[in-house]
Amino acid sequence: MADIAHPAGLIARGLLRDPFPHCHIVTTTTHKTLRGPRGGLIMMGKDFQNPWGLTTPKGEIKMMSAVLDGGVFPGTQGGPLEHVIAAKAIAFGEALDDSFMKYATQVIKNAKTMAAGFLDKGYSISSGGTDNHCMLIDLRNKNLTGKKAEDALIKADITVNKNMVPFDDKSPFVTSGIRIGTAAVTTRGLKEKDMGKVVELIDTVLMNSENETKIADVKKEVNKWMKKYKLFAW
Amino acid sequence: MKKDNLIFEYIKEERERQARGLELIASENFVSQQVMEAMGSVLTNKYAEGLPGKRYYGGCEVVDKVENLAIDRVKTLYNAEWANVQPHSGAQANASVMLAVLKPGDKILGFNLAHGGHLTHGSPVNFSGKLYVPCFYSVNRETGRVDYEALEKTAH
Repeated sequence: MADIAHPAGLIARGLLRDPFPHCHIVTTTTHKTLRGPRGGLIMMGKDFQNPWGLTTPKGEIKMMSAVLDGGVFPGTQGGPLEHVIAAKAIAFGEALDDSFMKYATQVIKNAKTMAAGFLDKGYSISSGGTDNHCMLIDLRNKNLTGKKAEDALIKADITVNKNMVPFDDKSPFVTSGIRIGTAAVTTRGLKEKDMGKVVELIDTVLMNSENETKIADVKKEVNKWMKKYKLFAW
Repeated sequence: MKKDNLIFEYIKEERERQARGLELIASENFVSQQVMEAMGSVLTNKYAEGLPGKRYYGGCEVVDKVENLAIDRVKTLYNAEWANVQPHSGAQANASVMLAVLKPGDKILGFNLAHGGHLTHGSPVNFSGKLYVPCFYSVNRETGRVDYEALEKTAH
């Protein structure tokens, strides 16, 4: 089984390698890079007979699709949220549109540009960069914890989340890293040319994490800048 | 009925927070107006346990069309033969699959939570780590990439 929750929108348009030929079952959320309502989804590239010999009341071997349908209802859920399913249908329709191909391509371009910007400023990125929409910055060489970075950035209206880095020696409440992604800012309309400014603003806050005046200045700049963009620019 | 001004004041406040900030949480996004309209529609009033054409409630002819459209579109999008669009969340989707294909006590192999995995991939605080016996694969300390050799050994 592959859980493609994070890159679902990028995989949908062939921008990352396709798990379907390699995995019997694929699960995902619908609200991350896929840009739909908050929800989940289960798929199979090919249906097949269940390998445990489970049969229908008529004695026929059940298909995996029927076994999985039963896992959802009555297995773990009751009534489906049809209003959310309608919103999923709309989001899938949007994802099939040419504009979504442009969007998903831009998400990756933005992330690669941003990652290069952080590397230029001496930040360490887990695995050395990114192929998708997100990156994990290891702050240990900057003498900052993930918690301290997250708290300082939020004061400047920049939202990231603290995140454990592999082989982290700090607790999940403190952590040594922050995770950053470009799916949301790309929806607002930011392009590669804007990524340098994002890196600059974040770096200013992190290098002055105890300087309330500097952080307040960054907040003003963020607010003035983001005022120019709609929430949804596509 | 009086309008609940307090909650709409909070929604307005959240809208302003989203609009003025730089949103870089990797798992978040902004949906289109039409996606939000559908979520605020009368479809929320309908009970529809079961699947399109096989419901446990009457009056499902319209929601059947809605759900079939969602299924057809997502099958086209991923070139998939089958889809179930009902899971309320990714965690619910994973719980549904594990319930369908595993028995309590079965072994599962998942990505280490601290290396990029998810709670539902076998964490001891989650159903997946409580009902099943989890083993984990990790990334290589030097490269930060999945250690496939170690993964193969763990799998055997």
